[in-house]
Amino acid sequence: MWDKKSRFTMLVEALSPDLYRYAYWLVGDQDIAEDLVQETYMRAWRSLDSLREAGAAKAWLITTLRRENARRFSRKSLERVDVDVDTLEATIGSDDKLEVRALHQALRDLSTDYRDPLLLQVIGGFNIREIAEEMNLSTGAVTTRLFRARQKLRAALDGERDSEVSK
Amino acid sequence: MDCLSFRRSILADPGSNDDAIVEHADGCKHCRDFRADIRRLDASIIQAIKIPVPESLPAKILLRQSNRPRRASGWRWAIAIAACCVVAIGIGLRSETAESPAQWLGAVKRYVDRSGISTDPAAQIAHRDLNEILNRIGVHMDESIGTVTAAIPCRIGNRAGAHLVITGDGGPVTVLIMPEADLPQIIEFKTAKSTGVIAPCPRGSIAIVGGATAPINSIKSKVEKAISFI
Ligand SMILES: [Zn+2]
Repeated sequence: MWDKKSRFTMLVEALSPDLYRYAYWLVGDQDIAEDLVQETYMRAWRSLDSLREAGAAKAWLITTLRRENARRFSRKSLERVDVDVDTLEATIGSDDKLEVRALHQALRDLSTDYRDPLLLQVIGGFNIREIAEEMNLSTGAVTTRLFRARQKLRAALDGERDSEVSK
Repeated sequence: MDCLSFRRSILADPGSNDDAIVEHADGCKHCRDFRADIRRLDASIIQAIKIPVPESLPAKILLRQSNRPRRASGWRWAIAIAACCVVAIGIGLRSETAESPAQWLGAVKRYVDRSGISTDPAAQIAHRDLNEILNRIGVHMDESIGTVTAAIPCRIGNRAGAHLVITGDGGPVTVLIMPEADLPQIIEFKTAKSTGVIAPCPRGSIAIVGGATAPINSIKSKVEKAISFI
C-alpha cells in the first residue's frame, strides 16, 4: 500500500501539468495559475484521505482548484482577468501552426460561460452530467454551451483559413 | 435522430458513442464527415490548450509540501513513483531538450528564475533520504556534503536531475545535479536575482546558484568532493 506522501507525489508528477493548463485558461495569468495550482495541492494534501479512487483524482483536483479560485475572488473581489495572449505568445514556439495561434485567440475571445465547460470537458475529462453538477446548471444548458463553444471556435478557425487563402 | 440533432450532439460531445449517434453515423455519410471534422477540431483545441508548463512546478509543489512544519519520511516510495512518472510528465511538455552548452545554460536559468524556492533553514534532509533521491539519477553523495535542507527530483532541460538546497554562511544555495548535461567547460552566469556556475563533473554537470553574497565556490568544491557516480 502506498503511503500518503507517495500518493501525493504521484498526483503532483502526473497531474500538475494539466492542472496548470486548466488554471491558466481559467484565470488568464501564468503566475496566478501557478499559485492556484500550489494552493490546490496544499489543500489536496490536507484532504488526501478522502480521495478513494486514483482514477477520480484529476476531477477531484480540478474541483478543488475551482473552489480555491472562487475563494480568491471572494477574498479580493478581483476583476476577472482576460487571458493574456501577449505574454503567452512569448512562450509559444514559432513553429506553431497558425491554426493553434488562431485557436488561442478564439479561446481567449470565448466568454467564460462557454470556455469553462469546454475546459472541464477537454482537460478535466468531465462528462456533460458532471459539468452540469460542477457548474450548477442543467445538462441541457451545458450541452448548449458546449455546442456554441465549438461552433465559435470552428468559425474562428474557418475565418483564419479564409484570410490565409485570400492573402 | 435527425441530422440536426446529430450535429448538435456531436458539437457538444464529439466523443459520444451513444447508440443513437452510432446508428445515425452508420447511415449518413454527411454526418459521418461532420463528426470527423469536429473530432479534428477537438484535436486542434487540445493542442492549443497545451501551453508550456513551468518545468519547476512539480518540484515547487513537493518542496512546499515537504517544508510544512510536520516532517514525513515517505520518500522511499515517493521517489520510486516519481521516477515512474518522469516519462508521463515528459510527454506534453513543450520544453526543449537541452543538448548544447547554450541550451543547458538557458535551461538552468529558466529553472532557477521560475523556481524561486524558499526552504525552511531548520529543515534537514536525512542523508539516507538524500541518497534515495540521488541514486535514481545514478548519483551518490557522501556525508561530507553536510546539511541539506531540501532535495527534490526535478527536470531541467527536459532531463532528469535533482534540486538540492544547501544553506551556507551567505544564505541558501541551490545545487542542481544534472547527470545528462555534458559540457566542455565551466560556465559562469548571472540572472536578475542570482549568480551561478555550471561545472562539468565526471558524469554530467552540477550548477550552483545563489544570491550575490552566496558562497558559490566553496559550495561547489564541497559538492565536487562529496559527489560520486554509480
Ligand atoms: Zn445525418
